[in-house]
Amino acid sequence: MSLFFLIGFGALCAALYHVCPMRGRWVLLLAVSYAYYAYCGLSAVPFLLLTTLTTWAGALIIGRIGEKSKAELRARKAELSAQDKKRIRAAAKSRQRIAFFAVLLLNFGVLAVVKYAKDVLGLFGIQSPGFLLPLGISFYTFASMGYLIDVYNAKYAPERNPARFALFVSFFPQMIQGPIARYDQLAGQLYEPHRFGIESCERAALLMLWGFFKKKVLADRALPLVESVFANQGEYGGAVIAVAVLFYSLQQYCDFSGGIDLVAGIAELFGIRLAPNFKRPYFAVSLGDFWRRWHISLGAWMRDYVFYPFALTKPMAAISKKLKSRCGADFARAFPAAAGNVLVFLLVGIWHGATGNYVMWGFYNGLILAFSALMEPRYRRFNEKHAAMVRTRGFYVLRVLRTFLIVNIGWYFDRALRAGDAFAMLFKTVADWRLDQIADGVLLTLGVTARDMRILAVGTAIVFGVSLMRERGADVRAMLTGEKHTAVRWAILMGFTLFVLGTFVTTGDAGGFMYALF
Amino acid sequence: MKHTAKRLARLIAFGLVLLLLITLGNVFFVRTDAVSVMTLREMYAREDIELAFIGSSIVREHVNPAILEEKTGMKTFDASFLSATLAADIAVATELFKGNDPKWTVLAVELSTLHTAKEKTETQFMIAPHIRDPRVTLKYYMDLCAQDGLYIDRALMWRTYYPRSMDELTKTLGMRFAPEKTFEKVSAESAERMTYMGAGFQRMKGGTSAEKTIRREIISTGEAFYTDALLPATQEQLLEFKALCEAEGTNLIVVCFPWHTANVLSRSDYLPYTGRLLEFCADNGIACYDLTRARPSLMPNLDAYYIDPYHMSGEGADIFSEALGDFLVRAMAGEELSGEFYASDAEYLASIDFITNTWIVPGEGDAYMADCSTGSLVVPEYRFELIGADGESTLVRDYDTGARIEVEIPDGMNLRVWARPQGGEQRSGVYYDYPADYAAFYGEE
Repeated sequence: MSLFFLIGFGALCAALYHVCPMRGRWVLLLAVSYAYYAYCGLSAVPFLLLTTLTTWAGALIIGRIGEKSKAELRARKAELSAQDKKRIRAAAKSRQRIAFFAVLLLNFGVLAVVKYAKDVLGLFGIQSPGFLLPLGISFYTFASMGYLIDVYNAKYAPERNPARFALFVSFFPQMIQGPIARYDQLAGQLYEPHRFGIESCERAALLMLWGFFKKKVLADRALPLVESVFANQGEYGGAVIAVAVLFYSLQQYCDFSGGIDLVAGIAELFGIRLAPNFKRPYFAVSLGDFWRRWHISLGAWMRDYVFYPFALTKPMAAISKKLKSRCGADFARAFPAAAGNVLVFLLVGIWHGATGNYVMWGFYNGLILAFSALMEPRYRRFNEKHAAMVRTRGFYVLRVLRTFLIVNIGWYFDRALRAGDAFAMLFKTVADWRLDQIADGVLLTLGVTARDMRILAVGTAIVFGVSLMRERGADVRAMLTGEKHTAVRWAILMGFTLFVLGTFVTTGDAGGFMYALF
Repeated sequence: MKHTAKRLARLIAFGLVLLLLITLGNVFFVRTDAVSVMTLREMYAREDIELAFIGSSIVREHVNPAILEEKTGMKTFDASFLSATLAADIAVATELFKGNDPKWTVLAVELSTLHTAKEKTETQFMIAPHIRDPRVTLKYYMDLCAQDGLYIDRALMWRTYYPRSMDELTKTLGMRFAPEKTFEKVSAESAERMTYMGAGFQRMKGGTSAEKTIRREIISTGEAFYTDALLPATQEQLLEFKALCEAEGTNLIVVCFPWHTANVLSRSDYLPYTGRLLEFCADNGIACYDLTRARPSLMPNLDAYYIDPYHMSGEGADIFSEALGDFLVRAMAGEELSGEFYASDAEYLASIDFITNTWIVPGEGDAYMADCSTGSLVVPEYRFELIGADGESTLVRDYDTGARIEVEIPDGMNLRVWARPQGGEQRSGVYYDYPADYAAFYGEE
């Protein structure tokens, strides 16, 4: 799917949306979302329909069981004993649980089959039946299951109109690579008609340009070097590998966050604000902080639907209680969180792919977060003792750099083709630099020219500068679309637009969003 | 409301300024081919062109207008540009016809103009920034994009063809603002290779020979393109060109210019496809001639003058122009010329009584197979030698019709094959070296 098609399609649909009668706007959104999805691959539509219909029906059944039991309790309020009420509630919950798990298992089952059948069958030497991964299946499955869990937990009432629910699942900008929508945050925006506003369109266009810049100028430009080195890691020393990992840091961030900015911009053309998915992650001061800034919607999903339900279970409470006497109160208190982090990141690793390197990547992140959770009381005491030093800019920068290093070690596993490759590359980065390869200009033989290097340097500086401004609280988009200093704003915007137009990558294998594969 | 209108006006103004900057970039910040600029400038300045040649570099380097003028008595001009296809030809002809009323227009085509309607992007940057009518530029752009879909690359030419150095920038701006003075300087720099003679003619210096390139590149029968009919886009563009000429009142002749014989024989689609061109033109009332199929009485074989598989030296261009002039005079007079062309592909192939080039294909182990390009009636015979680094030759096998040889090529030596028609003379350049280490030998050249 061409990025230009997505932009053109988004702009055209937004224009149609704003001339469409108010009442029909959400219907138009549904129609164009399905049209887009069908255009991307007709064979994926049944998967989308299956998830939509089963989740809608499942949530409705869960809701009705709940309502019915409440009605019964209300109607027979006087005649029922406390025990009877408890029994009715338990019976209702039991029936809800059956519906809930049936839909949950069906949808995660479909996801698991299309995602992992090839890898798992391959382990047993069986040829995969060749499932095509439907576009965005992870994202809409997670969004739908989040909705189902919320309805099951009676967080909100189920949507009765299947078409309206279908729009929540299929809203086209977020189909490619998220963010993972939350029903209570997005649905209302989808159904209410939005008025056209020139200011919001300007802001949306700017966000799209920014996303396009990150994706097409930086990510796609860095890609060839990353692919060359990771595919042939045996040929390179630690210095080239370290550069490739840094390029991957840039490429992955710009690809994913650029894509998110682009689709968020398209959504804003309709007046709809998607949940933020990135918050300048490379400014994080700890790994935990990093994961609260990177792929925020997945992190929040995991936190709400895996981490808390796991960490707050009765068995975990019992383990914590037992640990209190043996390992101390601090350790016992932190243990459920530590175990929860390991579980969450193992799941996230497996979500990326059922291969050793992803499992290792998840395990690595989970272990560090678990260690941090267990060490939290000591950190707190250290920070209190050295409060003055901790508040200095130097210490802040040190923490940012430390986090960047930790994250980048994780990227070795995330990007390597096999876990063994990742270990070999890590070893070479530490023990076998082979600086002569850098001196010999090997980097310029990996699909990236000297001009590309210059563009990457300038582009990275721009991303860093803008991120720094935003980190300090500046609303850069507001500054650029405001009323003051028109000449300066125009010069900046014009210069940036021409830079993007002059340098974006149009050829090669690059183009698709890497997270669309998940 | 007032606020919204103001913002909208500002947004539109921003868009217009951006568009203006992009356009200026396409005009002033795109590298320049000096000869193309001079050709277009002269074309716009002239009002007396009576015989116009439209086409690609084979026109620019092969048609000497002075000779054509002498032969036909008509003021002649070569409106031709490197790798131009029919889309460029239509744009250039449209502009040429605005200031000139040529009596005759010769559209020169070659296989590479016909088998794909896609034009290289570098051709566009040579022409488009210097076309004066923006409507023609836009149509040219749309015609090109309709074929290859490169809307962005072609709309933002400065992305790819921006001046790479200060020298290039100076040249680009110089060709825009002080073309004569700049061209003088540029000409001096390229004088060893060629001289621009005016009227669109670029005289290539001799000295280099096509033999080496042919030995290196033309070693097989090549890939055959679709040959059932002319591409639909080519058909449309030929008819559009015809309509353009009719509207202008100029007589159109389509001529397929010849290539080096080795190049013709290397392409199995050459004769079928140019045959389709002749059929299409006949069906649509367009006068069309394929000079590849011309008998020597009309067009002598000029292989010896080629500096690459497509282009001739200035000396060859003069001989070609003489023959072309004679031919055009007769064609314009309405003379029946079918007798001057071979009646069939088979007759043409049978007429080639020499070997154009030879090569070696490795077999299993130490076995090698020789092959060559030649006419259909020639029986080739091969001679194999081992050539040392010092040039010393050791005969492996003397001339024989057997193409297979089994020999171990010692390190640092080449297996050389010579080819000649059985019992005939050996042409000096018709040999091929297969080295012990093929990749090292040919890979870096």
